[in-house]
Amino acid sequence: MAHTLSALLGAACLVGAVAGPASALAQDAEFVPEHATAKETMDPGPNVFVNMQNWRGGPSAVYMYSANDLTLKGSVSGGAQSHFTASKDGKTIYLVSGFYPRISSGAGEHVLQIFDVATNRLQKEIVLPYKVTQYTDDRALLQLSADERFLYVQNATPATSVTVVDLSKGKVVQEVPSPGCYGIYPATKGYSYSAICNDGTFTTFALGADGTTFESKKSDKIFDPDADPIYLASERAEGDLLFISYHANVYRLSDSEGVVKPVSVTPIAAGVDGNWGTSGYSVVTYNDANGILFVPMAPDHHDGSHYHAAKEVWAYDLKKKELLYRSNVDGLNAVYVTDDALPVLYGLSIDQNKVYKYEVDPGARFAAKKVAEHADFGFATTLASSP
Amino acid sequence: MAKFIDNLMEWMDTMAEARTRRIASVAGRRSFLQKAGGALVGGIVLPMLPYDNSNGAAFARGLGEPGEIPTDCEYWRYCSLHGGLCAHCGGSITQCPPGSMPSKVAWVGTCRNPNDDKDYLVSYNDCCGKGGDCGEACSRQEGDRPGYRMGLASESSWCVANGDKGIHCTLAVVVGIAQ
Repeated sequence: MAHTLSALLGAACLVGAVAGPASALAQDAEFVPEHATAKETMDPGPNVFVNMQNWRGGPSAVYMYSANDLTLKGSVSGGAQSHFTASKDGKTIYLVSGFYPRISSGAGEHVLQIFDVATNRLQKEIVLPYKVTQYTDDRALLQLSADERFLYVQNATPATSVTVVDLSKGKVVQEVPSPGCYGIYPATKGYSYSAICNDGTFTTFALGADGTTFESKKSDKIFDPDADPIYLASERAEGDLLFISYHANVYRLSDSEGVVKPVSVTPIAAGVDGNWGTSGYSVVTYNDANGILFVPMAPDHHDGSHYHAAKEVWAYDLKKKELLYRSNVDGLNAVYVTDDALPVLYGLSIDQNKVYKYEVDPGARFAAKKVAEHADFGFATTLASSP
Repeated sequence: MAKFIDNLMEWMDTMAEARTRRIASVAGRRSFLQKAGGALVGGIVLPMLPYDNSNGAAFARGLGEPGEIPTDCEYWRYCSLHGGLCAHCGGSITQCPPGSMPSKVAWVGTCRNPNDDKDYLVSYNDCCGKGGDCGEACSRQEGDRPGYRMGLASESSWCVANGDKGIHCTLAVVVGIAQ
């Protein structure tokens, strides 16, 4: 048997040696070698941005998905514990993160990186004061002024302050001390922003025209941080600021007169069985076209459950003060709704490491139906969409 | 200007710590300032406290705890914990693993000890200067507040004030009685 096998192998080799050159010649005539290249730009169309925040020394990344079907189109990356925001036109990403050459020991620096969305390419870097807050990402930690000239960066050493970057000059122009206050909520015009303070007040910081000076005004007490703490997450509704508490009370505030004033407080879970409470990180999102608030909610709410995954997203009509619909969702920790007449809701799940898309039906009391999903590759608590 | 701001920030950190410690000593039960005082005190006073040098065996005195402190997330002193216990990483409940250092500042929880039915201030110091995971994390986060009450904010890295920023694991150190 061994002799037979050897004979067959020998014959095969002989045939191969004789026929080989002819086959190679045939392939040469047809074969076109490939070349490694780089795609110049992302595929066109609206995007969803998701900030994947790396707490292990980096890299963090902003993933860019097709807003239509959540296909992953591109990404930009920075250092550790990133915070991000995007320009209104969706063409520029601002990413602030930490770069630690030895990862977990020794010196480091905090850097603002500005990326072109279309090409995913780095446009500019600005080194920041080495005191950027190292905190689970929230959109309130990195914000643009209304005209996008200034970028405001939250610091915590743990003493809190805000670094002001003049983007037109490409440099840091001021550090505004804000002891006991945290979060950045820019005014809809001019160069002022407000912050939440530890006694339940807000302080509004009004910058000078060149960003190098400031004046501040403190509000009356707005909420009780012991009994009804609010999240950092916020959204605009007809010019007002919306916040929500752990216990699902919506605080509508006005900052139009240079100091924050209360407009209304609306408990959205009052009278609903099951002890429902707000659940997640990015927990307030508002559809302008229809005036509908969307909030991730979970039952059996208790002390310490406020960042847990939501079981439902509630659609709430703030004008009529009416709970319209409770949609089942996949354990979301963050939500974002578009401002379109036909709203689209996007959500993130930390447990599932996924981003989801839901179509919302205004004709069905704003019920949300899942239509797409994709992996989001890590710890993500903030998202936004672009035109 | 930058130097002035740095000095101001340093002064604010120092003054805030001193002020909150002073108010904490007279503030009411479970008040924020009491907790925040503990938060800032935690890192500063930690080295001066009767400190566990025996892998957790001696620290339990006076708290009615067993010789070996449990690491189950539901154990009472982890009521506001948000991180992985250093007891799983070569350290103990109150000791950072070799090669890492306790954070200079910390967040604080107020936890009810079922052994004596008293509330204790528990300082959750991160251990800094090393990376790498070492065991399951606990995320009870009771009493957690966002960064506007930084001393209660478990979503922050607490290695912010250390030179070495790597976060390795977290301690649960009982630093006082909440009265």
